[in-house]
Amino acid sequence: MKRLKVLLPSLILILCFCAVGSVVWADKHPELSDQEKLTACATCHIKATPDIYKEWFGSVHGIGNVKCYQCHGTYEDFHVTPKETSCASCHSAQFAKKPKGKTCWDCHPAHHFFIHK
Amino acid sequence: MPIGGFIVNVHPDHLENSIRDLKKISGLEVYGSDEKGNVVVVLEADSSKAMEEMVEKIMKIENVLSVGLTYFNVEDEIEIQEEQGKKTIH
Amino acid sequence: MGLSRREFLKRTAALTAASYVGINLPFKNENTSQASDADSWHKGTCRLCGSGCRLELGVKNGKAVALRGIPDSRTNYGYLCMKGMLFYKLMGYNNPDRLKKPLYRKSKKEPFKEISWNEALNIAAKEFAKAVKKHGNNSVAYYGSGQALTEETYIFQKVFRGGLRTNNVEGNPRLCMASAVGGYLTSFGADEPIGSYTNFERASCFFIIGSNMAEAHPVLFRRVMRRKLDNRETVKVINADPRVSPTSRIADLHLQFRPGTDLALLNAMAYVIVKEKLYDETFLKNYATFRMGKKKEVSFEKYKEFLKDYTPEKVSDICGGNITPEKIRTAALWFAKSEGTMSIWTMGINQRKRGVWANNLIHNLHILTGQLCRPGADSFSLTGQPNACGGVREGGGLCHILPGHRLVKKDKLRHQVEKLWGIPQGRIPPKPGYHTIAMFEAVNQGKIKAIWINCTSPAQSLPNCDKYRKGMSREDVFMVVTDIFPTKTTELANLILPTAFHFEKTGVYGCTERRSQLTVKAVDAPGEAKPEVWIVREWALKLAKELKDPVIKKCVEPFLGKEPDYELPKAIWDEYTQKLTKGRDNDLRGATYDVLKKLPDGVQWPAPTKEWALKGGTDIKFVRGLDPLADKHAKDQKPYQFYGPAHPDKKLWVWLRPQRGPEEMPDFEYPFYLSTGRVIDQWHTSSMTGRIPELMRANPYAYVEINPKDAKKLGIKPGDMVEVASRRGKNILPAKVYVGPCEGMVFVYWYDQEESRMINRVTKDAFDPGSKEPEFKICACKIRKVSGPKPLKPFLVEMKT
Repeated sequence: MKRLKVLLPSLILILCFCAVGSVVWADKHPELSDQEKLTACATCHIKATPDIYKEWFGSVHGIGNVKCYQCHGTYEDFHVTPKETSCASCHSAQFAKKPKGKTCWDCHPAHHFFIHK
Repeated sequence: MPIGGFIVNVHPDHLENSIRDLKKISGLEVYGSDEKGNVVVVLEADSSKAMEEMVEKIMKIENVLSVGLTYFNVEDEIEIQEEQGKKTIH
Repeated sequence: MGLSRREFLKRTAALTAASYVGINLPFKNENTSQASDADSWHKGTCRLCGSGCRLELGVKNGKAVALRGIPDSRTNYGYLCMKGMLFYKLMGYNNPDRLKKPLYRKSKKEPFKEISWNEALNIAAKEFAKAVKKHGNNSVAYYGSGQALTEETYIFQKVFRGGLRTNNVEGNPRLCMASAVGGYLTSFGADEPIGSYTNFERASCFFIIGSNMAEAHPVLFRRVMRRKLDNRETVKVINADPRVSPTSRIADLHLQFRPGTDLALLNAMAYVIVKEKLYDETFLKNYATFRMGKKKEVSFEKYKEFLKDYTPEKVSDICGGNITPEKIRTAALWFAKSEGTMSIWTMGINQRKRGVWANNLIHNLHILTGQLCRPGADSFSLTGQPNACGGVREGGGLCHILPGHRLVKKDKLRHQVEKLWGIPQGRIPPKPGYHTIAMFEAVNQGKIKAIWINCTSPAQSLPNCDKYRKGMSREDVFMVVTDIFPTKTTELANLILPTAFHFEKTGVYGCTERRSQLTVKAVDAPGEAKPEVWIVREWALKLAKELKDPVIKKCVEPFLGKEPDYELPKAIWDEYTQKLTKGRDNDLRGATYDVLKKLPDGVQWPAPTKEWALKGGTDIKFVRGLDPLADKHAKDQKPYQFYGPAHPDKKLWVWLRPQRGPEEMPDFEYPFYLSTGRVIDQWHTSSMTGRIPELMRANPYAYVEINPKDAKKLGIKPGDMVEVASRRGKNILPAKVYVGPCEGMVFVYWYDQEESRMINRVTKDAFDPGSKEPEFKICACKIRKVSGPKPLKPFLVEMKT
């Protein structure tokens, strides 16, 4: 146990310096109370991540009312980086023919969703 | 036996060589990579200490820029330690 | 599969790492992936609005695990909204709240007890028989749904009309599209839209009035949005609505008029079109006549005279809001001059005291300008439920209509139906039954002694619902409710019968654009839940014995012995289409189950032959070469043939319809307009969407939207608890202060089941004298702040046994 306690912080340290950049520690939403969970995502994110909110709002997903949870899931099933299967719910034809080794957002940047990068 | 998921960041120009070097480390599996030099690696070691040593080994490989932990599971190690703990108490 | 724990952990480690840098790995862990993880995919239709999006249900080990759109489908091209993505969570054992056993209580004061199906159907048969014997055939009633499958509505109404000899057959589509039916019949002579969704991609002007389609029909809105965004300069969007909604975001012109002044606005647009000579003279000469009153024919000159009361100057005063004469002129100009103009509306127009007239006035604009039948030109009413058109409008689900667009009161048509059913002539009474509000009024008065409510929750969805809940609570009214979840209505039932959900049974839905689509059973219903078609058949057999009436048995005879999951609904569909739609304008003989299964997106009627159906059916009605019935009924060489059954002159009718306000106007005591509507994440009474955590959290309870100027005057801040009171009842709701509703108007979402937030306790039950559709959209209310913000909880009815 002792070793573990040493190992973990040191690994976290490594993580912080690695080239992956601003990586979130785990694929989890910050803890919220049950009452707080009864809030539409945008209510907080308009302040918490204003740039992302703005990009989304002006995108076809924003105009077309495709909301945060449709890609990122809700608290029990939350993903910072969405599973591509959630893209495939609507874009299954495009998903099937996308180039190998590429994610959807490699070419259609997240929250802008231009036709191509 | 702890299991860890890592992103090993290598110089994109030397991706293939670096992957070959990585694969030489026993207990290390390469699961994927991209052209930006990100390599998905899973480490399996007998103990946390051993894994720490493996990470140090990786760091020493030429063209490896960084090693980042993204997933860490030690459930059986904790179980073993708990078992041992119980034994010492009783 | 067969993965060791270690292997699983290693994969999880790799997947987690890969997700940080967006690398795709060639495998997925079972408990982390969804859509691609199914054993099999099953085609069907979405159930959560009237668009008719086609989708596939993913099934794994007999369990529903995912939904995805079908790219080949011409309704949605693969796109789904959040409701369509997530409703698999309601199927089978995925949701613990599903009703699984028949439940009964003799008195509505007692708790429910589980009973067997045999006992349940015996009780239902005895109670209906008792009512008929003691109080006559019109003391029983059926109240159905635009969410029931066509086969279900058809067999219910057959047993009630042919078996129980009553036309007390109604359904919730009366609350949402009856005015559209009235409008289509009186203006075009035939129900349902002329064109199709294909016009979304061909129109160059959209006139969206009384519809927040961005939230209520999101996948159709996507098509309009795409058309606009891809042609920013050439495509114009006009949004006319007293409330600024997400739909307004794509509008070039927003006409924000005071609630209830819509008829004046539409007449003013007609005034400009006539005054500026923007009308299509040839089209008018060939295809139109002018009508007023009941249906008296008048001249174009008379119509011009009539329009003089509706100059843009006069009307901008009537409309208030942001309406100026200039805006009216611009709207009329864009409408008339575009290559193809498509009007789109929903409840904002239909749920009005003069909803039929409002529909007529929209159609007027299209007839005047000839904006019909050609690409992109259409007068298109959107429907709110997946099978309001197919099951209820076409299948005979309202008190005045029989299957195949036949009127009850026409002897010839009624006798046709009796003959096709093989029952004695005169069996179906000649008088239409009670329409919805009259039906629940009759329940209140104790005239109806036994009522069967299927797949809908009138205790929450009727306007002024407290008034009608009193009747439904009467001890001398026996109430059967068939549903999948507990609702405000099951709370008032004697007998609750658990039914199979969508994809747990087989049947057809007919969406907004005359399109019929089949969904075949893919998963088992939970517990003892059964498909309605089985329930009705078995009940009818018992009823025949109780009443010693072989004709009741005759009604279900063709369906005896059929296996209920596929063969039974197929036999019902075959009888309905092959016999009842033969020779009618909604001819569906070509759309057999086999044909429907071959197509990704179903068939649009008229589809008299299999060959025509396999091509997808009829895209635009009344056009020679495109509509087989237009060729068949052609009486001259003109390209358009308006053969609709309701107009003997086979012409389109331009109606002289004056402005009429709502039944209840704001006054000193109740100074605000109250309007109600939907949000994208919830649907109807939220009995389904409320049980999907993603959807419930996005909109956990109803708000009252207040214009910032009004909020300031009343000292109301966002989140404050506000009382909304009318002459009928009151709610206490949190405030959303935003530039949505116009000044002097508040807007409340109607899905919430919590008593103090159930807005239909406040709305008014006035209805259109023609369509009998209630005026949900407008009544008078007063508002006041009662406290600061309070933590609120979402609420859903639970089953107590």
